[in-house]
Amino acid sequence: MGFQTIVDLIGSSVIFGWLFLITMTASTGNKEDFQANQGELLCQQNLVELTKLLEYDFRKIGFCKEPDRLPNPTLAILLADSTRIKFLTDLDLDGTGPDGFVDSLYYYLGPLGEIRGGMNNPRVRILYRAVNNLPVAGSNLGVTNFKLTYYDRFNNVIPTPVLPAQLQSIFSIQISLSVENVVASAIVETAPQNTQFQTAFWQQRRLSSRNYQNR
Amino acid sequence: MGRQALLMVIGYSLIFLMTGAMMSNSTVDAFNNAMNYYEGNITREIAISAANMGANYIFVNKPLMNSNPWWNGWTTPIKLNGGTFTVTMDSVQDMYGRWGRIRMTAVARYGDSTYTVSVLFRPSQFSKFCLYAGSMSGVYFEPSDSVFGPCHIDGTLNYGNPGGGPMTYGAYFGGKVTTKSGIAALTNPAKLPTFAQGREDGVSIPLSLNTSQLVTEAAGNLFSGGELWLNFKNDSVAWKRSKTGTVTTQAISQIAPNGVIAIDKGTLYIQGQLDARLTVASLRTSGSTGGTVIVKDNVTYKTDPRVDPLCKAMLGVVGYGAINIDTTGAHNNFTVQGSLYSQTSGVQVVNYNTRPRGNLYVLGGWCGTQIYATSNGTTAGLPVNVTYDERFRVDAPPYFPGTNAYEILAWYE
Repeated sequence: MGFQTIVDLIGSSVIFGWLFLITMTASTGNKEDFQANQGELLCQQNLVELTKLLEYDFRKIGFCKEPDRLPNPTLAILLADSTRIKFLTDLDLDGTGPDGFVDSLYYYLGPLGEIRGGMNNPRVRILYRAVNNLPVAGSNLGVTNFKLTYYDRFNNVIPTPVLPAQLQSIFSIQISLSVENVVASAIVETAPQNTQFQTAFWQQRRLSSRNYQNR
Repeated sequence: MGRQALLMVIGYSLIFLMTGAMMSNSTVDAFNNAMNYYEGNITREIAISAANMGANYIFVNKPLMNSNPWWNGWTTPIKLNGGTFTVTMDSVQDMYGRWGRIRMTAVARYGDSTYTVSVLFRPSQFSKFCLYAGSMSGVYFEPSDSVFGPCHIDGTLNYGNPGGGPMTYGAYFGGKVTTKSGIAALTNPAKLPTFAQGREDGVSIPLSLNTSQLVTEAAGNLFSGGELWLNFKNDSVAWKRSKTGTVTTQAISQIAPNGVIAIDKGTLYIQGQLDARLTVASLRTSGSTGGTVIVKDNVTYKTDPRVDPLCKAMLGVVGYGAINIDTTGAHNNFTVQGSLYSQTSGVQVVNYNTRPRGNLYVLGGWCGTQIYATSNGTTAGLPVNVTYDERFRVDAPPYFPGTNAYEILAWYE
């Protein structure tokens, strides 16, 4: 083997190694970006689904298909706190529409640390939805913040927990919701932990049920 | 360029194209997700707008009210904000099978989304008020006054402390308050009342007694002239034509199949315990006499609707003139359960400044052109406690005077 051949081999090995490294780096980066994008997408989808559910339910505070069974809708809110609310409404329980009987609906945020695991987001909590006395339902959609702020008719904030005597003063509710990725998106821990979880935030200002104050 | 180099370029290009496509898919999905939410919101806004426009039509044109024609809605799709909507109308019964309510359904379409809003209306009646006054001439809501239900003043709502002295707090209104001409303080500084459910000015709801309808519904049981004494005995009523007249007892369903007992150009006396839905009226179809109601003793329901959800009894007391509390029982505390309506006067306590001191408890509502003093404030008369009957938010005694407007009972979306 001549000198020129050895130089060619060394040169080609260096070039191959260089190209290989580029490929690997690009591949890892792409995977991370892809994972992050997917995480972002998932996060947004979770947020939209939660938002739709909250809007759907909260717009029915005080609603009953048979109003005679709930004559005073201003009594519909039974409990109001910064992370929990219980109210009366008429739910579509079997997919055929509201049945004309009053149901209770209770939303509350679970405690931190309910979800454990290596890659799990430590800030994620479960948002529970309890209908009447049926088993409580909750799913891990990455909720990290669920905050309710209550306003009276004159736009004054009502301190929480809202006292029973003040429940009828509630005129509108501000809902703040933050959703994060439930698991870390980074394959290699190159990023700080906080940036491994994509975040989406939604806030509905002054959501007011049309039924709640209609009489 | 060699073949290998060409293959390498093609290979890298394919890898980057695939990566780009995957990234692009995520972005497109995220965009679609956002657009889906946006589209849903736009569709909802169109449906809400349609429902509001439909409701406005109903409020203005009042279908089936005062001989107005029925309205079918807008059944041909109407374009709005890039989408379309339709509005359909339906006449519906309440849970007891009674007709009179109407349902409006607004359906909006935008792109692939559909959104439906269903609104239930009923003819609005004066029994929905805990307190209604045509005017408050010379009368004021004082610090000790409280109204725990819907209140309307078809004039100016006066407040202050006519007794003089400093005010540390104002009157309390626990329900929604509407006025025609706003509020006015007797003296300044006077403490503003608390309007827990807010206040809306510029709302005019004049009293409106449809005498001919009550005459029609009373039908053959319309008494004319003189006196009519009614003593309710649950689902029956003992009646006589004078204080010492012959008593006749009849089932309410027999004497008032439509739920209305009325006397025209005479005086109506009432007392007793009721277990039926009934409106009693003292009318004045013509002339200048009659139309007065006199409450002689307790008028109560068989069971208290506040604790008995099955209580079906509901009373409306309608007078063209005053509704006088002229109780002569051995006791000084009296109870009147029902919605009281006076077209040209109000509820008055006879000899309020000389009669023995007691209390008048009203469960229902109180409507009249004027509010009158019921006690002298210290030693005589009947201070009044009006508690709202929550059933009147959605229900009313038979043919109770209406406001000539519809109101929304339920909004479903």
